[in-house]
Amino acid sequence: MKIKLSGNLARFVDYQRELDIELPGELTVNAAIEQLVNAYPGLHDVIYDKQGDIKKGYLIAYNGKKLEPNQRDQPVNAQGCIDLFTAVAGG
Amino acid sequence: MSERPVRVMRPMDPMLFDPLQFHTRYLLLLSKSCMWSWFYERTGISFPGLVRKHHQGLVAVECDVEYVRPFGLFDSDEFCVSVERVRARQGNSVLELFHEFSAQGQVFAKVRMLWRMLELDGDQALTGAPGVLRDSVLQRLEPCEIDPSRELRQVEVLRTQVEGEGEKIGEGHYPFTLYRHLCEVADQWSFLEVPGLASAGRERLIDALEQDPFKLRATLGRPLGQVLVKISCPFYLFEEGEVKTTAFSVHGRLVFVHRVINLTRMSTLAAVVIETFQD
Repeated sequence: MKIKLSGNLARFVDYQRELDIELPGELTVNAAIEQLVNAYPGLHDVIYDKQGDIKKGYLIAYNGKKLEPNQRDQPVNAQGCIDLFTAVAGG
Repeated sequence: MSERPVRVMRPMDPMLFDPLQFHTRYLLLLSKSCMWSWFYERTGISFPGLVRKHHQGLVAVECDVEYVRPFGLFDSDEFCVSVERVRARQGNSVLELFHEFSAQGQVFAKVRMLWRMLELDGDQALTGAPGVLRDSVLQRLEPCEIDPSRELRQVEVLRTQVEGEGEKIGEGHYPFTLYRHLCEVADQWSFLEVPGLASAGRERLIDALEQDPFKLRATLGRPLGQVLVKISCPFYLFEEGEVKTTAFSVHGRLVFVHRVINLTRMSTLAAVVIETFQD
């Protein structure tokens, strides 16, 4: 499946705009993002808070539809696309 | 305690001007630079210190630029940029700064900025969430600099008025991609560039005109009088966008309204810019 990241995260994934993630089996949105972070460990502290949850500063969409935090356990498929948007960053 | 203005003298430089007036983006750039002078001189906090020690950042949410009187490159040898006053507004979640640009004792432009306070997570991407001024920062403000009331947002008020009372006389689209020359340290668009994207949309609309019954082309020779900017959504490196520009005649007065759309982010409205011209 594909995962697209906000541009401010690009430097943690070698500036790739779109990433192909292998799905080892049936995965949820949360699990697919974990797969991504396993592949690019530099993302871990950027995306997850100290409790291991995705930080509130991120918006996640699956196939173009925004997901609330409690909807991120829905299954994804190999043709799907997750967008991980940074809600705001301080500069 | 009274206000604590900070004033910085700057030399005249042709890069600051277009053929008609002071570039809007440089008014904003110098305003922000002067804001950090104010912070450092009046509170002892620098931008790196705000991020590292206080885990705070801020993002621009509204800019109001008013060209008060004509001012050109050869009108002075130097000019002054100032922070006249600072207010923590709306439960300390917004900073409001009032800037003036003057030369030889006369103000030629005013800038009002609204900054939304962020609480940063401390990661390298400067990820944040909207928050309030932490006590460690707030205690360095004077009582007169804290105003709990809600600040005035001008853009939506004017946009509603223009679209309600005005006659639509032209429309255009300007597609763009956000590359790094338009970004700040978080690979996020710099608020300075938003008026420039809007004016590019206006100029593209005018340049594409085959007929010009409303004499829009003549506005290329008229200086802007006011530029209002509202930023409502971030824009990051490589994201695709579009400026949708609409020209209105409002009681005989020309107004351009620009909607900046983030196409990559589910076509979210990212900013609104309203331009009017000097009489």
